Amino acid sequence: MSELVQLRGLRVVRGQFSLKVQSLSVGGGEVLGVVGPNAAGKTTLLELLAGMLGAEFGMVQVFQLDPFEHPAQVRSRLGYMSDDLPVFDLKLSRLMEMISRYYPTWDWDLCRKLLRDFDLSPSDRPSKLSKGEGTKLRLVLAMSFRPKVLLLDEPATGLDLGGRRKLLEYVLRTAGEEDRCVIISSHQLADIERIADKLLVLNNGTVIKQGMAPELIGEGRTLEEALIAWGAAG
Amino acid sequence: MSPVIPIPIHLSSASGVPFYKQIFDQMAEAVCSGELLPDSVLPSVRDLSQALLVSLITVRRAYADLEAGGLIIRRQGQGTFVASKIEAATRRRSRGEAQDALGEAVQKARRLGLSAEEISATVQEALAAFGGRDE
Repeated sequence: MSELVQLRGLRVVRGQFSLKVQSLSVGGGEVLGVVGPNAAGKTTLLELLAGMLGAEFGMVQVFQLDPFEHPAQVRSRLGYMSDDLPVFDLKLSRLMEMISRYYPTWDWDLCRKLLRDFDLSPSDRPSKLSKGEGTKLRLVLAMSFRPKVLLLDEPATGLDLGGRRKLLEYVLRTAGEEDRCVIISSHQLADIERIADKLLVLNNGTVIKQGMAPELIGEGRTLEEALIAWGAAG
Repeated sequence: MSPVIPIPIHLSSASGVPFYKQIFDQMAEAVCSGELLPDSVLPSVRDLSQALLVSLITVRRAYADLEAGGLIIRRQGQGTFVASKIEAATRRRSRGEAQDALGEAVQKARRLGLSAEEISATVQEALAAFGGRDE
């Protein structure tokens, strides 16, 4: 199993906030769940991996490249989704056509299927969409080019039950391919508990726990109860 | 769309019982009760993961435990099947479960103040009432 994402001795400082991760690796076929209270550093971690931030100390590698140094090479194979990612206010069909040009691996069949599964119409416009529909649109954009690494930052915001189940299905389908992985941060702990192979628990910029999900959570308690026990409930 | 799974598996996220254990229990029961026939094919780890919306590691773990218990077998390149000979494992498992259930009943009877003879007599009565004769 090849490692798609690797971190060593990472430290990022942003004003008062600093994020430290000693070591992390995610290989093909894996789902990593990143959990922790607000301001734990989940978004910072995902932004680092997406090459949107640089690290002061340590090594960040995606596809064995530093994503901050090689953004184009990394981003062509990495899908990043956050519910506040800005999108152009164009008819979805136009928007998709425009974005598809950036990605050699864009899969139109998959894109149409995603739009159908998430109940979006190609004639919709982003400004007319509800919060949940906006989330769905950003998921479609992040997944339509079959990225090898899929980063999802709070991807369930505003989603209804059907949308959430579709999201879980697509995450598992992605990680069901041995050369692809998903890193997902969420407060939907029951969902994370279902789909994560590995967990990274952050609190105030520090790793509280990390490892294989079933072992970390153990028996007789849910992930939510485990987080409370670890003092990472916020 | 979603892969078909041969038996309904219901997962409860509030129970505190790990998902791999819930899958193991329900599949073991389906195998032992004969609901899943010997040699019948089971979904791949990937298909079951997508059908149940649980992680691959969860399904892998459930399958590994079922395999270790002799209830299913994996044939290289062919897939996963219900074991052909499950009687020994089934009987061991059924006996274990029955022992647990009877053990609990005996403890309760003790707490209620019944003597050993009274308990024994009650078990005999229950056997008579609920079909005491082997088929």
